[in-house]
Amino acid sequence: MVEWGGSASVELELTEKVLDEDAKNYHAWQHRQWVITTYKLWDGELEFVERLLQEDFRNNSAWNQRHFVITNTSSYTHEVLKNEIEYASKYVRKAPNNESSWNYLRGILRGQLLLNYPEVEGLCLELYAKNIRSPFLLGMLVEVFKEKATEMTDTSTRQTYLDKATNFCVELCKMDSVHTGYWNYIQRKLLAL
Amino acid sequence: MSGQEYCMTEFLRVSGVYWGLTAMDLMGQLHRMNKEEVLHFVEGCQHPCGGFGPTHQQDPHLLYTLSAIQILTLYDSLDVIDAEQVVKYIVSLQQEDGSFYGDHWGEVDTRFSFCSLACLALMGRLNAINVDKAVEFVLSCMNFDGGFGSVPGSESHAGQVYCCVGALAIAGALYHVDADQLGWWLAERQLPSGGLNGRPEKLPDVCYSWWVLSSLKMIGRIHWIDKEKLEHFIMASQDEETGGFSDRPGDWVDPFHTLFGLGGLSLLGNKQVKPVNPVFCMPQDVLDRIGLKVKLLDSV
Repeated sequence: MVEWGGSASVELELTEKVLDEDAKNYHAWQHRQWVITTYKLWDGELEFVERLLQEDFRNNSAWNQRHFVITNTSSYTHEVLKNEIEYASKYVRKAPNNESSWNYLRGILRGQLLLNYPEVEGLCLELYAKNIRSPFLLGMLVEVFKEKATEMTDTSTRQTYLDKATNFCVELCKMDSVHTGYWNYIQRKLLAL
Repeated sequence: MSGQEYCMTEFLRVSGVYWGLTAMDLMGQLHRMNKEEVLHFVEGCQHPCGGFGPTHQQDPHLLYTLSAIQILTLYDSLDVIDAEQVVKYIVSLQQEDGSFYGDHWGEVDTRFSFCSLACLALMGRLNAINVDKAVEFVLSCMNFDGGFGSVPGSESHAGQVYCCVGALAIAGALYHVDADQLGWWLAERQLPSGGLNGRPEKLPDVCYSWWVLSSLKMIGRIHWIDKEKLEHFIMASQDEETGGFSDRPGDWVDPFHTLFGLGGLSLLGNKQVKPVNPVFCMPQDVLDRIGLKVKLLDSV
């Protein structure tokens, strides 16, 4: 009926009304994505996402929408990635135990060399030094040091990095005991490197 | 159930029958149900196009077609309906991009990919559709966090993850999944209460004990969940008076949450419940009887 009526902006407003009441409504977000894609209404969507994240940065649907918009517009170029790392870091600092901002950060870095984005290691070490002990933070530190180890040719430095990564795993088994099964697996993979 | 409740649940009646019968069979009590009555009811739900509606005189849909085929398989009675026509119905709903419409109104959702592949696999007719294209569409719904949504771009959701992982398993295409990343996303569904939610920052619900746990089982990582804590949560959601399960402790019970609570307990190794197949959510002995084997990823 939207196709017949051509009232795309009305549909967009409708989804906004629904999301105002229920910001995580799965069907509203799906419909919103369809309207935006079909009628190319990308302009202003990142601002819409930003508004929602400012109201509730734990809104996983909004983080997903951010990824959806960028993937379909600028895509994640090196410059965009640097920008998005800074953007996600802002919310990670606000709430280091929030899953969504970390999932977004890790998601956009998939397939990338963390070496090329030293600000990630910087963020993690900064939070660790402040005594923050979120499982997402320590999980990221494991990744950082695992990559440093694999990029290292010098055996003793390599071992130092591997030991750091393993120590974080041991710490995680204690502080995130519900996920011991997972952290033991990560530790076994490190030992096999 | 009151007359009003009976009318209000018309739109999903055959699925309700599947939930109830499967729960009974998992407890070894299927014999207490009236097989003839059920078969008569299910027969009457099939349309000339081959698809099944939720009850008599309601329009056909893939969701209800799967429930019907599951019930008939439980009762070893596929012959009471026109199975070939079911195959034709499902084939007619596959689109060029490999996705499936739920019915002729054209909604696309990975749930319908699962319904199609599961139905055809139960009938031994998987190759009637373009399986490669079906896999391609499911994979296009994989997200940056390793999870899957309903259509490309949709947020990862445990229910959709179950459907996508199940579809890939049936198609022999589980190797496409990043099992470590997805396994971690699934494991993160477990909250301090022990219960599982469906996506970040949402409340736990017993039905996710099924969608999350079966997905983890299919990718060989079920031990990434704290089993004791989850079992405790599921048990706490059982109502002592009625015996049914609700979405979370203290809420009203229903057959949907009862089946998925029992399914979750079965996957956790509870000996009071028969082994359940993680792909089809049916007793494993039923799948063994029809010789249907779906390979899962090895446990890590």
